[in-house]
Amino acid sequence: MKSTPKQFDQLIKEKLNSLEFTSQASDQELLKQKLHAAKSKANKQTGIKLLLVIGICASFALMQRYFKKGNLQYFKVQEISSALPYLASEAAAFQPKREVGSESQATNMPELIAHFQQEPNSTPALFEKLQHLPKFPHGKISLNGLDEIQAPAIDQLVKYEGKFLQEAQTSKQKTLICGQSEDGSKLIVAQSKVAKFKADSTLSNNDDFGVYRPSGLQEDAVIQYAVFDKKTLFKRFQFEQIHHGIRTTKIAKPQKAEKVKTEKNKEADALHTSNTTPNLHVHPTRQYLETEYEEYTYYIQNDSILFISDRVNYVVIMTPDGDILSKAQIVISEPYMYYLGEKTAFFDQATGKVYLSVSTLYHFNIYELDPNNGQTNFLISLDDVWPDPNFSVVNGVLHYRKDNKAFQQQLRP
Amino acid sequence: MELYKQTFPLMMSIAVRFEKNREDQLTAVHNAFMKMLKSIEQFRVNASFEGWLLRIVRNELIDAYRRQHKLSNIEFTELKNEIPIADFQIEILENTAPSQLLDIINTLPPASKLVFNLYAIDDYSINQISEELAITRDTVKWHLKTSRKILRETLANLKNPEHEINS
Repeated sequence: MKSTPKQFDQLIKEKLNSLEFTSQASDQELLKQKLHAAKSKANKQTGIKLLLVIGICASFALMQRYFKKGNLQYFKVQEISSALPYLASEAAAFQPKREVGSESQATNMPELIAHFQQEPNSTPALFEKLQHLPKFPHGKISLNGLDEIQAPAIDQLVKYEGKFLQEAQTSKQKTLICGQSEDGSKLIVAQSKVAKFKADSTLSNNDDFGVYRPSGLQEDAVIQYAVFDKKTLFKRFQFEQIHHGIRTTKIAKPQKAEKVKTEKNKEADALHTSNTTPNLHVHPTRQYLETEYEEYTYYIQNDSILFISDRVNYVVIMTPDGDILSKAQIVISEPYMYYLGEKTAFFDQATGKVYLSVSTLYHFNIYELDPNNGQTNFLISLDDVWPDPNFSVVNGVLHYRKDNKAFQQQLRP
Repeated sequence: MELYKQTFPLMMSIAVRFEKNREDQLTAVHNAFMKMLKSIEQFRVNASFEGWLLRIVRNELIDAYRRQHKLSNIEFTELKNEIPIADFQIEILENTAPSQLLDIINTLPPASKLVFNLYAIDDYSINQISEELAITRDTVKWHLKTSRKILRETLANLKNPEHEINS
């Protein structure tokens, strides 16, 4: 008889289904072994997981304990790791008093002193190295409950050409100061740092950067200073603003084709001499008027110096080393004002915030400034406009004077 | 162990068709049994235990095949003396002993054996096999056709040893 594929498959299926199998003792033994191996493998995995969890918990607990015990030690390690190797011994300043005299630290000191004596302190290369000096921790910090370090207040120590700094601004902890020389031509920024090496006792008038330890400053501290030529620095703010695409002044119209010189306009031209025409920088696509010099008022905000132009148009954030962190044009857009009068900026030392007052035709508007981008946040509008309001903000409260009376108003956070 | 003794014949009846060596057959059976123990909570009480167990064994065998071979690399086997399906006498198959038939099935190329087993014995459809093994329907059909040809030729050879097979 001939078959179809279906019949063929069906017959095979029937034949195979008739087969019978029984398990042997050896098969069962094999399965037992396999089950045992699987069980021990699972136990092993559970053990490893448990160990891992215990390890993570233990390291977490240790870390917690470590930071709780002395966050100053953590600070030390963090700072020193980035510093130059020879400065590592400076970490001694962070150690508790009874550890300062230990042998290992004492042995490094002569080498360090010798190194500093060999190299003149005033070189820029040295300044770069000194930038890695750890800053003095703000306020009183306890070291494992054994000792306390008080960051030195430097506002009464820093002098330039033998005179205290003019119009000086200091940080809350008095560890950073920014002020001017007596003649107003120099801007001096000084900051206390942790270092035990030998240093001059006076600020050198010939160097722009350096460190010194004035009399009255503790042995484990130095003052690192930077002297800037004020005009050059402020021009640098403005110049760099232009090249960052921010319009500081009016953009001159492109020069038109030369007018046909008629008798009439020849006479007119004769009245306007070339001395009165602005100095134009010729550029293929843009032409700028030369930047007008503008003074800046400065404040210390955390570890940076905040500069606000006198006409309250620009804000710049600079590090004590002279690196510009941000620059922005101050933007006042809300609420819409037909007339924008005088703007003044004032700094709240307690909160570190900057506020602006803007006079309009009928009100004084108060804003909070974001120094990072120049954006302003409208806070309140006062009912009137009057001369000499003497605005100031202390801990979020606006103080002002009107008709010889003092007023104050809470600004919303 | 009682459960093992009871389920062993059922599991082994499939394993012998897919694997040639007893060692491999036992490995597949034991792996399937352990999987069954591990996932016994997933078994629904009102479902067929046999069907569930057979599915576990089949999946284990397919996985084992996947581990060993690549389905895409199919070697097409040319047959010298091809016997047309109409000429095959069904009596030859009827007179063959089941154990002998199992041995003949085990001579099939691995991929063809897998496809033939799933289709002819385990009642999988062509689409199911195609999806399960990630091969085209035409490839499945080719494997079925090849398997049947080899089986018919081998069976015919048992009766008439003059035929030659190139496997």
